[in-house]
Amino acid sequence: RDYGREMRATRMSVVDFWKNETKGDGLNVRVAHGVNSWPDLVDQLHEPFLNKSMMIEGDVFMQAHRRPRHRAVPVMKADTKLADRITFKEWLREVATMNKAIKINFRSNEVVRPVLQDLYASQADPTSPVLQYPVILHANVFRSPRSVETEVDPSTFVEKAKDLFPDATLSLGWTKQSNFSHLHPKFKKLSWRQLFHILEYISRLDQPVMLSVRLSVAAHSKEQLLWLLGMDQSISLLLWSDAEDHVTNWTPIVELRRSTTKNRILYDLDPKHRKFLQTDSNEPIATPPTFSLQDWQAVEFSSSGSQLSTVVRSEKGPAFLGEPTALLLSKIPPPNFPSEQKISGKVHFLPKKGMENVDLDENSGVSIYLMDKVQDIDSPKIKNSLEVFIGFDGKIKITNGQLKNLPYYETKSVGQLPDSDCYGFEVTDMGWRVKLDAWTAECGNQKLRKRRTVSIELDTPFQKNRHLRNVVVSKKGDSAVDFLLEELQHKNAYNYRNPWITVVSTILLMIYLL
Amino acid sequence: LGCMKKVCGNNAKNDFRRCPDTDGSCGNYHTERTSGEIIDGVDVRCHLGEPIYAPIEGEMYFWRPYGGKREKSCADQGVRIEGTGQWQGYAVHISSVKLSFFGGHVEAGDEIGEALNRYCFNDRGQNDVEPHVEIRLYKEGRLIDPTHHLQNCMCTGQICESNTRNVLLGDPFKTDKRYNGVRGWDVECQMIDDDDEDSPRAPMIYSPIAGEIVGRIRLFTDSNGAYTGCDNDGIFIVGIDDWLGFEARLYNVKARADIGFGRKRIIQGEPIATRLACENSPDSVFVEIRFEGRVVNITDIITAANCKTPNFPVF
Repeated sequence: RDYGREMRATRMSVVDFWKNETKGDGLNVRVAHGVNSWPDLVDQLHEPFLNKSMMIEGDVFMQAHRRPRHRAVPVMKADTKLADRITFKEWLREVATMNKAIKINFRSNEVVRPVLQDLYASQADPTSPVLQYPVILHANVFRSPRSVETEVDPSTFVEKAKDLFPDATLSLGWTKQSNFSHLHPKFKKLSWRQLFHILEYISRLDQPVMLSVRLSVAAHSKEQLLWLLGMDQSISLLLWSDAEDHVTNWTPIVELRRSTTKNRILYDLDPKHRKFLQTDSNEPIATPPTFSLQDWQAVEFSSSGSQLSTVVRSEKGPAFLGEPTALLLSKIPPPNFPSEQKISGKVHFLPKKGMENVDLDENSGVSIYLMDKVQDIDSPKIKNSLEVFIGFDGKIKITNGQLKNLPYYETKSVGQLPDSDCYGFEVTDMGWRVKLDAWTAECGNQKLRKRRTVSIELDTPFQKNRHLRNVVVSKKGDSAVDFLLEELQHKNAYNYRNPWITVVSTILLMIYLL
Repeated sequence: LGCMKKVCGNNAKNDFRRCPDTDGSCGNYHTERTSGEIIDGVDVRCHLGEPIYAPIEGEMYFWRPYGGKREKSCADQGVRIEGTGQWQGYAVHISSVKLSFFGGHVEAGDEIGEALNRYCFNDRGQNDVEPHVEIRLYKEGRLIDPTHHLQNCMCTGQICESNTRNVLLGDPFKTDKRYNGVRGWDVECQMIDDDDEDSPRAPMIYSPIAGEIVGRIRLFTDSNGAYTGCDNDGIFIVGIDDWLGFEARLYNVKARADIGFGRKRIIQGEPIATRLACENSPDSVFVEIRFEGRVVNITDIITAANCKTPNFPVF
């Protein structure tokens, strides 16, 4: 990891770079689209001062061989005659002196490598102008329904950008589609499944990431986008729209705008949509995070498979993906007996696509471990600890760790909840007994008819010292069952009755000693 | 750490089949096989019916190397071992093996089955290449070169008792002011909290190299020129055999009293010291490696990313 890399201007957000002009609000960013030809570039130089654009956008693709003896070079896309086209190199040289943010749209797979190599070379070349403003590398890497273009391969794009230009913002988007307004509404939103798919590419990145989302899609994906913006990574959004976007309900968009910092979302909107947002209130709404990033530490082990296996932390809750190789360790010190501790939350199970009919490992779900010593974690499999388990099929279970010569304790306690995508839970650790309350919970928009609660409890041998045990949350079982903990909290609940007993017993002890 | 155990029968050094073999093909990593394929795996010499051992510890699975093709069914048996412990994140595929059991946890060195003839479906031809089993090694889902994990493996192995994977603090090969600004590796090393003891004890330190001389390093002198201070201690080991020319220096450790200093025979991995347990001792030990007197960067060998003998330029 290179320290000091954060300082480079090419990594900066466009909004922060133009702090005075935008007043820190992504709505005020002006984008010059499709600056792909000499006339367009000249226009940029003669812009009116007060209305000048802050970001230049160019589209680059691979020139089909002009003559067979010519090597293919990346050129800018323009509706002009072949002879007027400019190469990417020429374009870069021009825009590099304009002191504006530049956004490069990669229009095909083949263009990714040569363009990034050109960028890399121009960074190393002392005679070419130094890039001192935000650089955004954009590609449409996700296929949208009714797509009219082929997508750029996301892993090539991300890997190459990471190697050759790690100081740029990486922007990912969906391919262009035809007749968007005729599309079935279920395709006009970003599902959790799709979001987790995006994480495959971005969760390991150090560089800033931007996601380019259509306004009407964003209107139906507020939860997912807020979760993304809450990640402990530098992530921003670009909301764009054209005449085909019809937003009937503006509430989610306005909420999205009001509940995040203004510089995290850029807007590139159709004038009528822009007008709406400009007139609407933009007072910030503070929503308390449902998951405290600083209270939980992620412990990750590498997995032998190629799919992403990790825990991704967001203020809106952690997501556990893939193989069970990652753990969350609570940094809240366990209290001393007779205080209790409580771990509560809500889990949302999201089996991978196409896995509905496969026989899944029935022991797949969330595990909450109560461990004596956390230093011992040197493997993702935790042994000899008390385990509280909530399965994706509603099975719940408390299992004691190793019981040596303690015949009075039961090994486990089990229960079963009705089938649901989401379950709420509360674990109460009293030191000598652990109790689990679990219930079927509402999931997103799906309304629940009746809430069903099941409680189980298990006595557990007490520790030698008076500390309660450390809390570790992890994933168990099948890599096909991912889940999101929409809420997760660990609290020490002090028991008010008990201090009296301690005081009384201390007094008694003192009397006895006297 | 990083070095695999014997895979087959009496082939203790995990020798590959000869290269070039009778038909000109090779069993090395990323070379062309008889079939014309380039295989990112290696062929370890192994005769039909010889016992096969697990090279790493992990969870075992049955695996079909030929994906269930009927005409190749006589060789279509193999094993996938998904590493645990020190091998977390790795997976090994061995083919063709007739397994004696089909799942569960195995330790490195456990016998798991016997070798099959990989070419039993061919009437003739490839039968004259040396019999072998093919080994592929995956790390985080990608094929990597297993050669130096199997043969002439030069990884240092575990250094601190409480850190099974040589987890480093800070950057690898960083300079450290605490130890006169030398460059090396800050290997995490927490105190060990045993159940039956009241206070935590200092972890053992294992020798990263094979050595012949052990000595003591003291870093600081006080104003009278005397070496004082609890945390003012370290050792050095002068290498021998494979490690000839190397010298390892370990800071924040104290040599085991029963071994003493001077000319000794130190085996790699032998417990030679304990971490210091002074009031201000950091939870790590610092390792510096020299080759012919110069500080060298051998991060891959310490983290076991690659166990190949480094090619130092001739000084």
